[in-house]
Amino acid sequence: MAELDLTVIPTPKELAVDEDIDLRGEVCPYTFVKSKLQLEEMEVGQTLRLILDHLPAVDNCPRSFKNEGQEIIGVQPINDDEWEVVVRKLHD
Amino acid sequence: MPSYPNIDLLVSTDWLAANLSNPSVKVVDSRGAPRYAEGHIPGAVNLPVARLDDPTSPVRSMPHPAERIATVFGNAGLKNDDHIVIYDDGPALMASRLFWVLELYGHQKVGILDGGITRWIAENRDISREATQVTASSYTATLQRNRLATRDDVKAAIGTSSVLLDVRSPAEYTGAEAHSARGGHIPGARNVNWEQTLGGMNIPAFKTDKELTELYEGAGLSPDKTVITYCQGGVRAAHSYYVLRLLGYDNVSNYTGSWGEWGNDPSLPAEK
Repeated sequence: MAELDLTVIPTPKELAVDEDIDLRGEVCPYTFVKSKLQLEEMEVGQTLRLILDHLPAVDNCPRSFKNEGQEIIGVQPINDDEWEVVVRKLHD
Repeated sequence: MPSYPNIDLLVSTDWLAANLSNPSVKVVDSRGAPRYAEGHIPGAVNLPVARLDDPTSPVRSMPHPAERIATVFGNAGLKNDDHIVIYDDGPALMASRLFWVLELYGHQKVGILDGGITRWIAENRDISREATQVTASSYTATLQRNRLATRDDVKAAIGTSSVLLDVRSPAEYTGAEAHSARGGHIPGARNVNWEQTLGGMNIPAFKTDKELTELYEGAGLSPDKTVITYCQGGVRAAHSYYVLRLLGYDNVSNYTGSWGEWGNDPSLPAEK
């Protein structure tokens, strides 16, 4: 069976994200929709941290942002139930 | 309230209000804990849909196996013969995901609250901010294999009379928008965006039986057909699974791996 690679990309310890979006309790597709909307309101170069507890979103959101040309800085577990995805806006 | 062939799967707010004290009725709030704490239907237990998924499965959106799901349901105080009524505060995405997992594991009496907590509040009904006391119970989960489609089931269905129903947006279906390594859809899949099943603006609602029947018949579906729904991660697919069940479809399953699995496997066929 093809395995999905939930790659852990440690968020750099010194990174101070510009904004957080708490998406706990949200499911696809709203996890990406809401985070994309928030990123659209931000400046190029700024970073957004998504806090997720829906595992498919931990896979889908980074890939979706990459496909849109944004940069994924980090994907890592916060605890047993929650994950953070940090994205840097590279373009409008 | 509109009528559907399987109307028992849709619960009116009037009925729920009259049965809140019925010990065999269990109300389940499928939202995350913070929104539950902000206010929920009195007596509702909180079972966020995130608790349903198996983090060890290589298929990211696969529910827990039976033994673990039985513990999840039991810890929420659910019993096998309960009439479970599920709600959320939107178009029933979360509620239908839980609905699917309950049917997947054999629960017989389960429905979704028409309009969710949004309608409940609009009708000025009572809300509670106190967490409902839960007594853990014993629950037996029995996998109904026909409610779940795996990658191999979908491969076997291509080119047969079974209908693969892609419920994503048209842009995802054509590959104009891709949330996996590849864009596109499973060969032969029909596209009916899950959002097309929604009626109502301020209060979530489903379209009428007639409207939904025409929508799906236009895509070549009928209740006698075997249908496999899929999306990106099995959530929108569960919503359409619920709608088809409401319309009387019995041979319907959710390919929960969906495009998140299929689109990331270059060995599987895809078309745009």
